[in-house]
Formats: sequence, structure tokens, C-alpha cells
Amino acid sequence: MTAPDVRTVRVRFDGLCVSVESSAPEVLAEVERAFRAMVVDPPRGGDVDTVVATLSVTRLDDGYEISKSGAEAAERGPLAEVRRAIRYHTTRAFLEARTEWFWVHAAAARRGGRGVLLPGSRGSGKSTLVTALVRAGWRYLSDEAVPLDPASDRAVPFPLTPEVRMGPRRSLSREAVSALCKREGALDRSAICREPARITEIVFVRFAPGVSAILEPVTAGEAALQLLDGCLNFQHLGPRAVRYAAEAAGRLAARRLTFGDEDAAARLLDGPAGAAGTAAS
Amino acid sequence: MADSSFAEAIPRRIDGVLEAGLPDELLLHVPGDSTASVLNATARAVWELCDGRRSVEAIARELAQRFDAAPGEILTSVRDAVRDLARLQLLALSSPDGTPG
Repeated sequence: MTAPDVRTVRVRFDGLCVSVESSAPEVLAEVERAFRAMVVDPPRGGDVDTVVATLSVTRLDDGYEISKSGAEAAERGPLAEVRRAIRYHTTRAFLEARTEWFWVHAAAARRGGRGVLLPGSRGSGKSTLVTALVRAGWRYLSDEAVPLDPASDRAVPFPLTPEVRMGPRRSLSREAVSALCKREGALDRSAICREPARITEIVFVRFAPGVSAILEPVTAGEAALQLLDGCLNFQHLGPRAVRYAAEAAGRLAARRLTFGDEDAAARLLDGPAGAAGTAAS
Repeated sequence: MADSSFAEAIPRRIDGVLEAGLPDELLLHVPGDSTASVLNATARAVWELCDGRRSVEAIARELAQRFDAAPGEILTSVRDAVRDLARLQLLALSSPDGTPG
């Protein structure tokens, strides 16, 4: 009996590549779903991109094992856990190859000359909101991690497939939020922004059932603290992160968007009040 | 520390604290620490006068003059700000004779 063929899926970002190898087609299908807009064909005639990590996923009798090049320990779990681990390790590999940028736990979208950074903690509604913005005609930059160039405030596109939590429209504990199933947000390839976009405003996102959509100003101090709280590579940047958070918070308009209806929230951001200042809907 | 003796305490900014200016506020971070703090305009004014030479009372007098306010009113705010900053380990306190507070 011959061994099953090992196939490779490559995920590309900014001239870098993460390779995911497996003989399990369901694993490779998960990678292609999670990074649909970032998957590239294998190179012909030599690598153009720099491979920054290789993930190997093996199917076991009771689940899967995922190992990363250079890592000491492998992780084991069911397919859903493998999907989560692949998203995490792939993002982490790109982040560690581009530590000069300020990586923030956020979604981001662009429309015309407006670039909106949407920081928020897990379960805050970032993915739900950014998919609503795309439905409203905005262009998609990311739903999870946004690399910002501190020299220009430009967000480099990191277009993972957005994942929207499915659950009751009411307040849940953090643990309950984490346990919710996710579904992929519909994303047309034409909606993906492929060029860096300058961030012109910061909108901190908070999901609140029962609220339509409210936009309120945030002080520069609070914006700086929340940016630092969402910084994914603070250990690499240290003082530079602090300085950039303060500069960005002082320079960019910062507001908080509380919403229970993501389409109402998208209309609010889209409208004149959303573009100009505080508004309630 | 009792309020009366606290007024004589001399606060000094801890060395190495990173400061990043904001429009009306100040962001502070101790390298190696996992937290950051934001000072509002009042706390920022107090912080900037904590040079290891002025007492809490002297800081209050100077700010009262600057903002044309009653020294007694300002002293409470200054005392509270210094206590908060000391609790966050951003300030060191000493007595007039140099003994650490």
C-alpha cells in the first residue's frame, strides 16, 4: 500500500510565504478556506517568495497533529482545533517576519479616501462589522490582524477569510463567546483591497445586544491605551509601540462604535455623521 | 502616611519612564512592564513638577499660582495624584531629610 501523497498549500503575504503540508485533503481544504484570498499556486522554477514557516499536519486515528518548523512541540486536536492553530501559526509567522510594523488585533476597511481601523477584543464584533461594511460597498483589508506601517499610517492588506460568530443576539460571558461556532463571512474577491491603505480614523468596536448603533468620541489617551492593549507584537516594539500609539491617537480621529445591528452600524459609519463626528442611531 | 506629613513628602519621577505626549494628556510606560498609564491634564502638571526637589505642598502652591486657585483646593488634588502615581510605582517618595517614604 503506498503512502498517501503529501500536498502543499502556500499562503502569501508581502513577499513572504507560509507552507502548509498534509496528506489529508480536508486539512488543505481548511487552509484554502481560511486564507482564500492569500493562497497562491506553487512556484514554477524556484521560489520568489521567502518561506518563513512550514506547518505539517498529520492525520491520526483520533485527530490531527500539527507541527511547525523550528518548534519543539507539536499540537494535537480535532479538525476545528487544527483550523484555529493554522490561522494562529500562519499569522504569527508573518508577524515575526515583519516586526517593524505595529500589528494590531483589529479589522480594517477602506472606502475612497477613508481607511478605518476597527480594533476590538475577541468577540467584540469586528468580523461581523467588517463583513457588513463590505456588503455596504467598503473594501476589505482584514478581520483579525492589521499590520500598520508607523511611518505612514498605512495598513498592509492581510485578507484572511473573515469568520463571524454565530450565536444568540444577547450578552454572553467571555467563555460563552469563545465557545460560539463561526461561519465564514461572504467575501467577493473584487471587494478585497490589495494595496496598502492609509488609516484615517480609528473606531473601537463593541457589540451590545439591543443597541442599534451609537458612535461616541474617545479621548486620545483612551485610544492610545486601547491601541497598546491590542498590539500583537508589543514584545518586539516596546518603546516604539508606545510612541506610535500616542502619535496615532493624537493624529487620527478616534471613536467607539457600540452596535447590536451591524447593518445599522455600517450605515452610521457610511453616513455624514460617521464621516464627521459623533452620531447616534 | 498622614496627610500633614504627606504634604512634606518629596516626590521624584522614577528613572527610565517613557513619556509620550498626547493633546492634553500624557502616556507613561515603564520599559519591561506590561502596563501603561494615561495622565489627564491635572495629573500631567503634577507629574512634571515631581523633580525630587519640590514637596507635595510646594507643587500645590506652584499650581495654585499657575491656575489662580486656592492652595487648599489644589493640595487635595495634588496629594491624590501623587498617591496614585506612587501606587503605580511611577514616583518615589522621600521625606525632607532624604529618608525614603
